[in-house]
Amino acid sequence: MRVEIIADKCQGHGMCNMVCPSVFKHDEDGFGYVVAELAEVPAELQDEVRLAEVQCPERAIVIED
Amino acid sequence: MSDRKNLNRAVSVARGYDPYTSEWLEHEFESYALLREHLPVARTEQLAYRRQFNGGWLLTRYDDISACLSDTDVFSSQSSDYPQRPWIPQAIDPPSHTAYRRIMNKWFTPEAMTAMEPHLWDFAGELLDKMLQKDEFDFVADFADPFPTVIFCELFGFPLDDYEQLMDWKNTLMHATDGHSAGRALAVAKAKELGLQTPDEGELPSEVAGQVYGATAAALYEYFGGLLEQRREHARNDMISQLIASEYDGERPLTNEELLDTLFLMFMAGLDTVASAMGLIVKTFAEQPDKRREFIALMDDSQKLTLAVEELVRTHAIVLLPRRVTEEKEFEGASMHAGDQVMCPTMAGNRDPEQFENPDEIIYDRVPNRHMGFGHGPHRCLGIHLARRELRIGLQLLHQRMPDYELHPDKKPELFGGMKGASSLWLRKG
Ligand code: HEM
Repeated sequence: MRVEIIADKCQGHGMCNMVCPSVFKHDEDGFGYVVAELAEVPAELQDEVRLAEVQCPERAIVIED
Repeated sequence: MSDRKNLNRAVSVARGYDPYTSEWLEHEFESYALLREHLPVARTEQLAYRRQFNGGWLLTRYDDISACLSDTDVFSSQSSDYPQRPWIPQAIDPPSHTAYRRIMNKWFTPEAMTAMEPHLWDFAGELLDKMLQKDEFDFVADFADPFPTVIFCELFGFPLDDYEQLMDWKNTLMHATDGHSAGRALAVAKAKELGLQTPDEGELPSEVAGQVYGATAAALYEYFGGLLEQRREHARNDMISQLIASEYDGERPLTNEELLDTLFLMFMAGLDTVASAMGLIVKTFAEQPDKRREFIALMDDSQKLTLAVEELVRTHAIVLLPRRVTEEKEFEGASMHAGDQVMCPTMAGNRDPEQFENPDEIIYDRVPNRHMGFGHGPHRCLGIHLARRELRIGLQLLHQRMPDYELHPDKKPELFGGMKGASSLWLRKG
């Protein structure tokens, strides 16, 4: 599973960071990014990443299985 | 009822749309549901911002509201008249908006707000200790109001010595005509001071309310001017001092006008919002003990609490978002004209059954839950990470200390409309 944040869509609501803080962080300007080493999502974090995807109010998270 | 009658009812609801009144609040969700089903882009001459020049449109579907809030070219945030200038950043459109937000976003990151948590716990505990010495109390006065408001004043740099005065100004500005009795009383006193006629009861006439608003805003601008002077002479460890030292796009310092307009908006956004949401949520918990117990049973699980707080914000959305149409626009079949106002009630979008199954029900583990309680698009709430933490900590600690309570049998909750909230919520320990 790979995960990505579409920068154009992200508005920095921070839901992803709330539900899966190890994969999703915020930059200085308050927008989300995926921690590079975890973009290929380890099995134990996949549930949280899926949750982040469906909770994102701007639909900015894309998962490729 | 036949569809034709429902359509006629929807037209009438839009015609009389006045979300500031207690009559509206009584049927709020049914009215939004009726509009959403029968007239989702509703023409209304009666606009929520009363000093408004044009009539406009009332949206109630989730998809329409999110489309409107995302398209800042057609739907401008400069949508009302302002006491001096459009306030920053809420009434400014991109690209300037982006530059202003870039200055402040970094002060309100999740990390920065997490660092405040120990202080939030301490202060919430202190207020609750005091409140719970009594068997009955006004939860809004003793907790929902002071908790987020004092925290915000400390963080931003509004002097706590002036707390009472700031709260009075806030209540006069924001709650003169929305059902908030303290706000109304303050506005009446101000009107008398200005030599204006006011009725003993009922609504303040809109000209009177307008003059009171203008005079109060002027007093506040003057006060902020003095505050900026002081901070220029002696910088402190607060956001006002940081704002003075900030640069617009790395090019130039902010002008005095920009600083004032930012302080004014932060004052309105930071002082009332969490207090309103918390008051309404605890009112629901007092009225629906099952929902309260369900919350208490899950609140020690951090992930469950995260989802539950979002669901509570979804079902207790407090904000109406106005926008102004900038050019001729065909929107879902409606022809909008430049200058029309478009009203986006987050409480309506948040209960659209096409987006949320059983929208009126609180489902703590609701997934997906892409609610718009904190806004949508570029203007999403700057204080979101602070607000979430305050709600989490406030609700958790309150229910640890007081799992059982009910509404006071004689003292009814007092609600206000527009930017919704509770101005008084008397509770009795259970
Ligand atoms: C439960 C509490 C809160 C709710 C429901 C809430 C809701 C909202 C909403 C819906 C918007 C969008 C405005 C628009 O699109 O025009 C917004 C913007 C804003 N909020 Fe909040 N808010 C809350 C708490 C706070 C707090 C504590 C602060 C203090 C830092 C804050 C500061 C702001 C600011 C500065 C804006 C303007 C952002 C912009 O225009 O770019 N809010 N809020």
